[in-house]
Amino acid sequence: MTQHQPDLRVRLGALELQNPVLTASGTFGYGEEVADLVDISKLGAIVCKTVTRKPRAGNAPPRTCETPGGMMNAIGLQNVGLAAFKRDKLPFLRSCGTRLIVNLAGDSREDFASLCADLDGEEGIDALELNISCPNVAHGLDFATDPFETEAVVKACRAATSKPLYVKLSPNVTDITVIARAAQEGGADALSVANTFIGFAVDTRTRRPRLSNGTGGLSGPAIRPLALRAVWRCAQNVQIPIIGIGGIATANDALEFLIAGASAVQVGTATFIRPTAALDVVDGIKDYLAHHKIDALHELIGSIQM
Amino acid sequence: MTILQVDAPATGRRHTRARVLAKREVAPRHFALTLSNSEIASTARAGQFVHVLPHPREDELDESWLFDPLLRRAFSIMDAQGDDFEVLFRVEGRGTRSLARVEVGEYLDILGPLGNGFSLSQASKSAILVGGGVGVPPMVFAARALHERGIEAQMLLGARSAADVLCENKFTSLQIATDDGSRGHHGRVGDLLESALEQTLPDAVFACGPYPMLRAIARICEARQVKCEVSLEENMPCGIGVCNGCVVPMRASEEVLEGDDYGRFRRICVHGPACDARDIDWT
Repeated sequence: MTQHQPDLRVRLGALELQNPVLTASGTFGYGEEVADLVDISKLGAIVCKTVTRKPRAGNAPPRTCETPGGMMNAIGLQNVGLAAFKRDKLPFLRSCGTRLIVNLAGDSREDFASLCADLDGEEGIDALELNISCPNVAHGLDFATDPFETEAVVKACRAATSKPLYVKLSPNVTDITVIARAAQEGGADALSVANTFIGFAVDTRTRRPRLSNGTGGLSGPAIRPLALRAVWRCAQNVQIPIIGIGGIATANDALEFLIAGASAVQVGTATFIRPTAALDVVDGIKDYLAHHKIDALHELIGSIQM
Repeated sequence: MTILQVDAPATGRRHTRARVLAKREVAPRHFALTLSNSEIASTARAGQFVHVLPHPREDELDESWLFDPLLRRAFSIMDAQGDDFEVLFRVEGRGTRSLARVEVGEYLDILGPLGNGFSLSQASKSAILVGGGVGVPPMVFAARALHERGIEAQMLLGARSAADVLCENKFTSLQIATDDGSRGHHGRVGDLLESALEQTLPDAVFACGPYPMLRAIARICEARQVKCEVSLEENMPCGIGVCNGCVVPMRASEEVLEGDDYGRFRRICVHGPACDARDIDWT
């Protein structure tokens, strides 16, 4: 038993979170889908499913397949669109008792900026996460694979909103630190590192791809060391906070990312297997800090000994 | 067509453990498990499913994570009575192979009951049930639930061969079709449905099985203007409505395109697995 509770609070730009554990976009819906199974108020923040200006039907099935220690998806940003999001989804999200980060995607610099402007006035949205890295829609990776485009789109969004701005990077690049620096230069308050790794799987019986989209984004424990390396390298190359993402299922996984330099983490695919995965990570981090007599989480962040 | 305005989760679902009371190999590579969990057993409806981690647990408190195979497996509930419920699965891949090794007395990690079951109230006097392969087990539950409503449903059962015929002793009125003719009608279960509908039209048809079978059943019912509900399958990572993986295309009626923000794809984990066959785009 501990005498006092360790301090789990972290800052991502101007936003303070009660703990460093967030849900990854597209793995927690709009919150209402799982409210009966998860005490959402105990999360550091919800990051909701990507919102686009117009509703998107998404890709044809099959959209997912399991791979060793992981899964691939090609959902294709299926979502209700901005108007229905504000009307039908925001009221519940606001009532969840934790921070709300809205993930959004545009198809051009202007579209990204105007989405930011549209959400800027909405109360109860604590930060925006720019999805410049969806691998499953046409041109989804145009921004995140080009430092010039990355900086330009972030700059346009920066001018359109005063809310904290996080940028979700793609790991499908030669050197992610180049893109990370470009996003920082554009005015990002934090970086979400990273989205899924593009993969391909073949059904040998039919000789067809196992996903209707052909390729898909690989997630789950299989990508954890790859994502962790990307986070570690970004943390060495930018001054803004990093949100670590990639195969985190347990507190120990999250701690690896925090020690390597992430200020917060997102739990994604693990939620599919265990709806309370993110909450279990919060509890496990608390136990770790207490056990190691660390008073505050920020002492741990980036404390890797090389 | 029914538009669900609110994405409210199914009531009564929970993340829980169930103790394995019995394991039987009912046919080659087919295993039936009897599981003890009164909360699931008391709330489950015919056509609902459970989402099962493919890693048996030696005791109820075992919280260890195993990451391969990663995802849960969805199984229709074969029946639920008292404190127990049953599932029946065929060993197909790594997940079901792992589950087939579960021992009596061990525990399975389960989310359930999930999804919408069959709308059995559509049948006021008569019903026909159609099951193919591992689509037969949920029909056991449906037949018993209908029996309790005073309806003796006619069961049409399809299988590859005589050895693959499942659950035949669970039905009072049964006709069998096999692909190889080793048992019953030599041909498709759809042929049996055609003949049955020529005799008399039931209030509703409820079907579960492989996609080509369901499409055939849906077409037969539509031609005869008989209400038909089908229980669908698709790769299903989460089972609880958050991943948007398990979608099926719906017919692009004006209502679908304008009335529902999700567009033409519906998640069968929450909008199904039982769906009105007329709502599905079978093309």
